[in-house]
Amino acid sequence: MSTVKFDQVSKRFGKTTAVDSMSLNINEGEFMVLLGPSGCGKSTALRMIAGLESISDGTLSIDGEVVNHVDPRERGIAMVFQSYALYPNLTVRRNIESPLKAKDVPPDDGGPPRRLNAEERNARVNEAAAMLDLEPYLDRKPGALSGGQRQRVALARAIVARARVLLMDEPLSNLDAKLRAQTRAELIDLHERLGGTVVYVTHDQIEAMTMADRVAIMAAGALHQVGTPEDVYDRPANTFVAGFIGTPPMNLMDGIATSGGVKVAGATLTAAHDLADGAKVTVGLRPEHLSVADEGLALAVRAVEWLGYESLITADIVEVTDGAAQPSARNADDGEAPTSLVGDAPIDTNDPEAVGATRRRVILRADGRVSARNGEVIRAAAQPSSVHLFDADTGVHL
Amino acid sequence: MTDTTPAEARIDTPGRPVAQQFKALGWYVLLTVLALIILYPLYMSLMRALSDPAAYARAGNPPWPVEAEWDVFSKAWNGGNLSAATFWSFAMSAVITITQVVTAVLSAYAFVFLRFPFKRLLFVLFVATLMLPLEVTFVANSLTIRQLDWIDTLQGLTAPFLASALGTFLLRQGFLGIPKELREAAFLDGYGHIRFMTRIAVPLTAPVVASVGLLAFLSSWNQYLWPRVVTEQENHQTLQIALRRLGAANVQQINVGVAGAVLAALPIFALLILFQRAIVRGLTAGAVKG
Amino acid sequence: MSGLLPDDEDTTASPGGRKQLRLFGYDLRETGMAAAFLAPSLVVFSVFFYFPFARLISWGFYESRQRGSSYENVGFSHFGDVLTSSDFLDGLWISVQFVLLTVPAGLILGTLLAVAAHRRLKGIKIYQTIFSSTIATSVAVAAVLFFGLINPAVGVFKVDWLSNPSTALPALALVAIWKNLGLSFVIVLAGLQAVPDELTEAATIDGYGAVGRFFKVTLPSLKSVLTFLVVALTIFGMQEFALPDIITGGSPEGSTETLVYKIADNLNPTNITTGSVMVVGLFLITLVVGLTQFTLLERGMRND
Repeated sequence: MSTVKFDQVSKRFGKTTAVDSMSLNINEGEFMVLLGPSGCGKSTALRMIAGLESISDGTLSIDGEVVNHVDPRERGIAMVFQSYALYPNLTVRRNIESPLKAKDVPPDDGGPPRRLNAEERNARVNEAAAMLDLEPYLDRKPGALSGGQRQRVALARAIVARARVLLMDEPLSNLDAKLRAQTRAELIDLHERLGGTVVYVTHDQIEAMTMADRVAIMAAGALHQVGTPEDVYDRPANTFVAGFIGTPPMNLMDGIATSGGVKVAGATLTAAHDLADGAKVTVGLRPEHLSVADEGLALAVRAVEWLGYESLITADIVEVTDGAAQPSARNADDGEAPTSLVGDAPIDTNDPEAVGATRRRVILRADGRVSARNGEVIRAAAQPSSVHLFDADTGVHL
Repeated sequence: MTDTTPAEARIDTPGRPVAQQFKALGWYVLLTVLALIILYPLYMSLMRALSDPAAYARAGNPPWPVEAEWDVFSKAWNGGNLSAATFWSFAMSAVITITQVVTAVLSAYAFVFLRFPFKRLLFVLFVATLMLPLEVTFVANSLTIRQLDWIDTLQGLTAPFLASALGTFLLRQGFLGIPKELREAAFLDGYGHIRFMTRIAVPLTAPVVASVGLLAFLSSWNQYLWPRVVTEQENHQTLQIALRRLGAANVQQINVGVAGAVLAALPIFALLILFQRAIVRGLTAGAVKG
Repeated sequence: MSGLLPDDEDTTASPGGRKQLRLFGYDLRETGMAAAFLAPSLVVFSVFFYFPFARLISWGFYESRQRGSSYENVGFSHFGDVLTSSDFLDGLWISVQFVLLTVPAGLILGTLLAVAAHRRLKGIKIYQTIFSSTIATSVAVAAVLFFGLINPAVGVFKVDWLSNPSTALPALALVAIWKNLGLSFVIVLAGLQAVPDELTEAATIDGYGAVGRFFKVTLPSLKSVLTFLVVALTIFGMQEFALPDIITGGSPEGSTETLVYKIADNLNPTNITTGSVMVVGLFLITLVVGLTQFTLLERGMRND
């Protein structure tokens, strides 16, 4: 069990900065997930822990020891690769055994790290294989295994040396959806049994939310928020996190502070704040916190996705004047966009940038039997406690 | 040959079964005729080798043996001193093959997996040797061999071929195909370069290693110019040189010469049939990759 | 031949750095290892390629006096003299003729064989093996086999091609074509096998017949393979030595004295410096052919 500490760590490739003076403390025994869109620097950060990337600036420590210039094999880490990186020419047994043969590892008798003898190696391999249900496959080559089995072999190879820190780089991305869900549960279980420190990289927020003790959310080389899954969901530090976490993510819209609330497109939402009247803010509302009401935001319905137990209503905010909604000059029934819309382009609701950019389109999570229809204008309200306010310029949560 | 499905064949399938069968039959006929044409020189030579020369000539060179003399091969073997020649051919080819594979693996590994200065320049120097055919260098090289007093020795026969830019090139392609993550995993597991090379990189590229070795064996076995330059005594010549003596020397003994040629070609034919896939892979790697 | 030069990109899983000695950004231990790995090849290449070539060039500046009893440094003019001498040009012309006789024929026959054998039939592998079988024959073996075939006295074909100056070279070319057929065949076949099925299928659906498909899809896809083959066959042809040496000995009337045959002829103590210049000439020709190959292939790849 070990700690990992990033202190102002940067990684530059030529002129591009992949990781920008990142500081992060990973605690002993913690399951830390580095989460972010592709290219955000999370894998680079992980590879710096492994020693596969040199560190341009700052210090990286494991257990308080600076490891910037320590050989990967002497860092006491193990890693599960996205492609598993199993040796195709070796049997499963030899694959799992390989770190034991090639480097000094802490023996079970508590002594200093050393090469294990054949008997000890066998015991370790058998133990790891038992833990991951690999016993029947020990004499096969990786090519004869299914994707899920290969993934477990990679895990076994990673745990067999009792590494201080276990690194995982998108280990589930090559599995199908069903197997992925099952493996998530197995990984949680494995972590509970072994109790080591895990650093896990993924772009999949479901993996992050279900497995992490804490999540570190990264974008463009910078760390945006570190916290428990509940923290980052309930109290996103900024609009990036708000627009990234949640499926679909938080709705973001432009608003103006009023006393005791915010005004969005002419409608007033009650919210507690101590901002000056007229201050520009970004208003954030989770889809499940918006509910159909008699008054509140006016929304022109664009699409209703029925998902069984719930419906997702995609709608565009319509300007409200004197308490009445003003749909577009044209007949709203024909599905044409109201004039107040920023754009008519189809919006990918999974893309936080696209959602953030329009600032007019919202998604609300409603009852499975909701009766909203395309083109209809509905009103939606939210609990004051669920209204998030962000600085309009910096995006920071207020 | 690889197991690809020629689209040509598959597309032709619609049609009545009978018409299809005729079409297939047509192809068989054509292919067989072509095969016969290609094999003709070899076949006729075999018939000649087995026949009594005079009787064969009187019979008008028919495509069957005349007054077959089955001892012609032993005649060639003994008369041409082919046992010594075979020994030298095998020794030379084996030394060249093994050494060339080792040096090519080492240099290809360095070019792919190690970081060092002047990598690009050194690689260009390697490739440049492909532009300097043996025909260009053999004069100066034979002088070198003479100065070293290596005429009629195994080291004289093999020395210029102990490294191969082509082999390095083929193995480099093979090593480049090893996934980056596999290298990283190995380094995290604690593998050093030597261990990674011998346990992972070489086993994973075994087919390429085989191709390089087979090509080395094939080309050194069939080598003509160099052994001719660096051997003087008859009992130090390789098979290809001995053939020249055996074949061209005596028109009346033409069947013995041909028998010798057949014997000399046998090992390579055996290799070609056994390892056709690996040999073809090596021969075509440059062409298809480009 | 793609990526002939190693990428600048760091292809090593270079460790973030052990406690290491570094010089100009390179790990000294790794550099030392690379030096050790490359050394065997570099030693061989130095002794048998770079050094002899340099030696030949330096010899080329000298002119033989009194049948090789002394040599005089005459500088570059010797290169000019030898490379424009009728001896060199005759050899070059005979080699060029040899190339013209062997390359187009080898190309066409190899392609025809490959197209014929590239189909799904039971036992096709046997035919493919037969077609590629001449790979196994050496020049010496081929020479002996044809000596028994084409021979005025004992040949299957009792023709006297080899003593007639106008037919001797074509006769040698015939042997070379047969000998190279296996190589041409496997190279074109590999090219055919690399053509994606979808292309041929698309052309079929577009309404092209077998012939149309060949010219519309197959031949264009073989462009780089055929370029490679042309260059390989051309270089083989330009360097032909063994066939005339074994079969004709350069005769009749010097009609089969190819360039390399002339070089070998000149490389004796009396006129070794002349031979050296010819070698440099041959090298330049090979270089031009090789560079042409490179440019053609590069351009082909850009167009694709």
